[in-house]
Parts: sequence; C-alpha cells; structure tokens
Amino acid sequence: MRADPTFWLIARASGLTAYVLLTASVLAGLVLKSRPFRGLRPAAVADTHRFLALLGLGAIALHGATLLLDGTVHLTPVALIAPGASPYRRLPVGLGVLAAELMVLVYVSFALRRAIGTRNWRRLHWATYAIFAAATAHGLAAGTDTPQPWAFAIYLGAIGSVAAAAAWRSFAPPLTQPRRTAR
Amino acid sequence: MTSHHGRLYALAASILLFFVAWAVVAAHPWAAPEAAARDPRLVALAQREQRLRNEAGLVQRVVVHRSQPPDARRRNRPSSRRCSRPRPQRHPRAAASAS
Repeated sequence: MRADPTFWLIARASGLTAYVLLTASVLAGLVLKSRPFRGLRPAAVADTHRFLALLGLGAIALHGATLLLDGTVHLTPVALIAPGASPYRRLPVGLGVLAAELMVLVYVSFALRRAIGTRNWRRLHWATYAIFAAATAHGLAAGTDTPQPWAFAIYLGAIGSVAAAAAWRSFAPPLTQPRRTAR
Repeated sequence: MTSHHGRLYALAASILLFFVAWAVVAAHPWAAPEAAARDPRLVALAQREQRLRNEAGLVQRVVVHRSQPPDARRRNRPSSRRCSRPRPQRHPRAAASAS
C-alpha cells in the first residue's frame, strides 16, 4: 500500500513558495534601494519587503514541518537545525538549512537595527545575496521538481530577475535628494 | 509605516502561489506521458495490460452467460437476440442498386 503523499506534496509546494517569496523580497529590497519606479512610496515598499520576508519564513517553517511529518526522505529535527546533518543529499540540504537560518537572522536584524547600528545592519543585509544563492543551489540540487520545465523556469526567472535588479542597482546613477530652492 | 494594501496583496498572492504550486506538483504535468511514451518497457506493459483487459472482459461475458438459468441463456443467445431485434433499414442508395 502506498503512503499518503499529502505531506510530501505540501513540502514540495511550500519549498517552491518559499523560494518565490524570498526572490520577491530580494527584488522588493532592490527596488527600495535603486527606486526604478518613482510612483512607489519607499515606506510602503519597505513594509512589503519585510512582510514578504516574513511570509517566506512562514513557508520555510511549513516546508520543514511537513518534511518532518512525511516519511519520504526521513529527516530528523536535528537535520533541520544543523547544516549537513541530513542523511539525504547532505550538501544541498545543508545549504538550504543554512539559508533558512541566515534568513531568520536577517529578519530579526530589522528589529535590532538601532541596537546594532545602521552600518552593521547594512553589512548583515549583504548576506541576502548569499541566502539567495544558497536557496537557489538547494532548490536546484535537492528539489524533486527541478528537472520539470516549469520548475526550472522558476529558478531561471528568479536568477535572471535578481541579477537584472542587482545590475540596475549597481550601474544606475545614485539617487540624489531633491534640492531645496532658496527663497 | 504599515502598508495594509501591500500586505494584503502579498498575503493573497502567496496563498494563491502555494495552492497553485501544490496543484502543479500533485498533477505533475508534462512528466508522466512523455516518460511513459519514451520507455519501451512501459509501452509494452501498457499494451499487455490492454490485451489482458480485453481477454478478461471476454471471459467475464462467457462466465456470466454460463451462470444464467437455461431460459435466460436461450433468450440471450445471439440467434434469438437477432430475431427479436428490429432489422436495420437499408441505405436508400444500396436498396436502389439491389433492385
């Protein structure tokens, strides 16, 4: 008799959802920094950026919980906390665990911005690129659906959009504050 | 500043995304038919399954026919059924050529 695949399906769907939400959060952060769309209010974009990161963390929690409940890959709670402790695809799963933990750290740093200082907070925020790279490697190497054309298209689209937004941020001229005219 | 509209859209989009991903993962489109068509062993297995299904259907019909009481069996015999059934009308062109 085959086991009920519900948890396995939810684990795969939530993993893909978490990846898309992480990508969207990174893109929102880049939009906030380089401001290609002048009509968007920075405060609203910043709030959406944080909320997308929170939703991504929720999807990651669901991904981990359903992988624990499902018996397909036999993950232990320790394997979900310690990178490299998983018997299943050790390196890619370890990268995924590391990315999730760094994402929690970066999200918590929003609240500790004043305590740690803006400069340190900015430095920590650079880890977002590493998180995105680790999450992409995790999805490509450990994802069950990666060989499917639609899943591969999601990864390619995410990498392309983040690369384009990062390039825009790097090469676009820096924003200047509007000068106040003397009266 | 909290952007309620932004949060609402993000939440709705992520819930929609999750359920669409679930449906796509569960349905695994593109994968199964292509793989089945490529693997010759699976194609041979499918053909054998179809042949066995046909044979099982024939055997089932014979078993049902033999398990019926004699009267019903006589009534359901192909010759008696042919008599009871109305004769199909001939095509007008075929009738004209016959005459």
